[in-house]
Amino acid sequence: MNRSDGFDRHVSEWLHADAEHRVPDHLGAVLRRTRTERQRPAWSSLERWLPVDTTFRPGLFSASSRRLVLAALVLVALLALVLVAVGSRQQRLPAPFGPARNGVLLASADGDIFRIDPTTGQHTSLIGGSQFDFGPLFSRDGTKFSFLRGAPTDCGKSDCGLILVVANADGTGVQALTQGLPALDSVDWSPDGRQIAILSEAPTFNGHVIDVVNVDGTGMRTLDVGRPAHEITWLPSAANEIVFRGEQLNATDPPPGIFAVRSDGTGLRQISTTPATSANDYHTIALSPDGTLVAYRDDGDPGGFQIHVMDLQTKAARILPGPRGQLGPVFSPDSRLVVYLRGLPNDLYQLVVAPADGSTSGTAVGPTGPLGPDGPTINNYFWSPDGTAVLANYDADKVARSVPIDGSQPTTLIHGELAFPGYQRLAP
Amino acid sequence: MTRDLVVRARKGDHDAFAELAGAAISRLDATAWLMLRDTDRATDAVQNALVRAWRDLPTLRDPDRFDAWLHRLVVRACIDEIRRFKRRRFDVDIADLSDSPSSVDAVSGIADRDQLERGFSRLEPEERAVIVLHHYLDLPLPEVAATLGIPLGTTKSRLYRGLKQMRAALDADARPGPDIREGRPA
Repeated sequence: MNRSDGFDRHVSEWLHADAEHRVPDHLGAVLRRTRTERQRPAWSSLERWLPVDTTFRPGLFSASSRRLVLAALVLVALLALVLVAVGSRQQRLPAPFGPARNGVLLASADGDIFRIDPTTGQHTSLIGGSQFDFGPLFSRDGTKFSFLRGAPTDCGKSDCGLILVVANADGTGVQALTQGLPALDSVDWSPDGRQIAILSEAPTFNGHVIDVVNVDGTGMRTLDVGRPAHEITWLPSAANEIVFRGEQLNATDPPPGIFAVRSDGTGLRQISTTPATSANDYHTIALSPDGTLVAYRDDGDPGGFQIHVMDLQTKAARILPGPRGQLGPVFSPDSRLVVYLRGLPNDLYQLVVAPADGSTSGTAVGPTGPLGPDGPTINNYFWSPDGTAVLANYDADKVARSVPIDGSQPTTLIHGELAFPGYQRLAP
Repeated sequence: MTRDLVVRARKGDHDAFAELAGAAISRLDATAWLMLRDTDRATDAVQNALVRAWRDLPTLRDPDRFDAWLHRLVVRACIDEIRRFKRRRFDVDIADLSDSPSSVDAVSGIADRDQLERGFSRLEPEERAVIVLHHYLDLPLPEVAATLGIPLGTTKSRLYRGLKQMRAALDADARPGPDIREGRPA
């Protein structure tokens, strides 16, 4: 006799018999409560913000263009010297990708955006007022930042969506770039800072479409990629390509995968070559700042989620070592490390910093956080521009923290709802 | 049909939500009762989960995932409830078993039920959740994993650990103890 099967059946029978216990009817009481309860706007789910891609990547240059770039750099350096000589206070700009110097730190909390002193934790209001603003994200050159604003709720729909807004780094020049967009998800600045890619609700099917918005306010276009899209991020190259997770509309559609499309909507191509075996494959994609690697989470059946790191040229992929239950990779500015979320017993999660080459299983950093109704309560994490810390929202504690990767004590940056930080990059 | 109701409820149609809640509530009640073993606490957990479901419905991306999402909310509410009571050093009152259904025929007897109950009540809430979703709601393990938002491997290990502990409780009670007659060891 298979004792295990017998025992399983025994437990099942016991549960079914026991479930006949009658809980008194309380549906009326529930509906009386829900009738007076307001629904949450769709955009307020943190799950929708996993992950906001804020990795920064150096560009890829061909050998010929490298000489041009070098010449340009020499010119820029000479110009900088001249400007210094004449007493100009104009700031040098960082390259769009790769390590940079830490600049101003912004964070949202309770619907306002604050400027934070990373050493003292002191914060001053930058974008205040009665509107609900959150999610500051600097352009790659650090001269502007975008944020999201709850649209007025009198649009006649249950979800009036979010408005994408940009401002100068000092908080001046606030300008709305869109109307209220339902289900506005991930935001990512183009390498040249002239465009922002966003996800918004598809008007004709269940899922998201990719929109590209001009930062000068001259318009927005939706890219036709033939399927729902998710998890957008710009490729570190001169080709102005946006990488995204192509999703299924129906179970019979082609399986999910990683794709790329140019920001003008042309050049759609598939990056992943191995077919997904589960609807959970090719999730939470992240590109290395040097443009050579893409990391993603696979279902890892039968053992649990695992992070794969794939070479974009050879398509060879390796799995990061360590216990399973790995989620949401983000590359460090120098492309050598990956921070990800590791599942622990009792539905707890913790950030782990590991080498991207898979040479060790990495080191856990920062406090643990529980699983919440929207997913892990540690979310929206990204690297400081200098690569010494990971900044994250710890939603269970309603704080944003800066977690040094050397194991020293994390710093609380700000308390409040949707406490999302954003870091300015400065030239080294 | 359900999808249409979810889409309508997501857009604020309370009648559609009432229909969805009415169709699900007995299954949710049973799930909460099995996890919590207490009528009042089960009622509270289901009510809190349904209020949360109504409030958060607009954030649900995929209407087809409504059932799994609702189960997840109820299970999370039950786990929170168990943790809250654990902090107050609450022990499951075995005497409450007298409230349990009298469908003894379905299982092998009161003694076994008591032992299963005892073993079950000692499990971590997350292990209880996996056992109830898999062995009561008959969800396949990948579906249990998706419902709880945990990897399949974790789901399997929780199920294995939970069943092992329940079996250990049964075995411990089945082992012959000292024969006590009139207060004296034999």
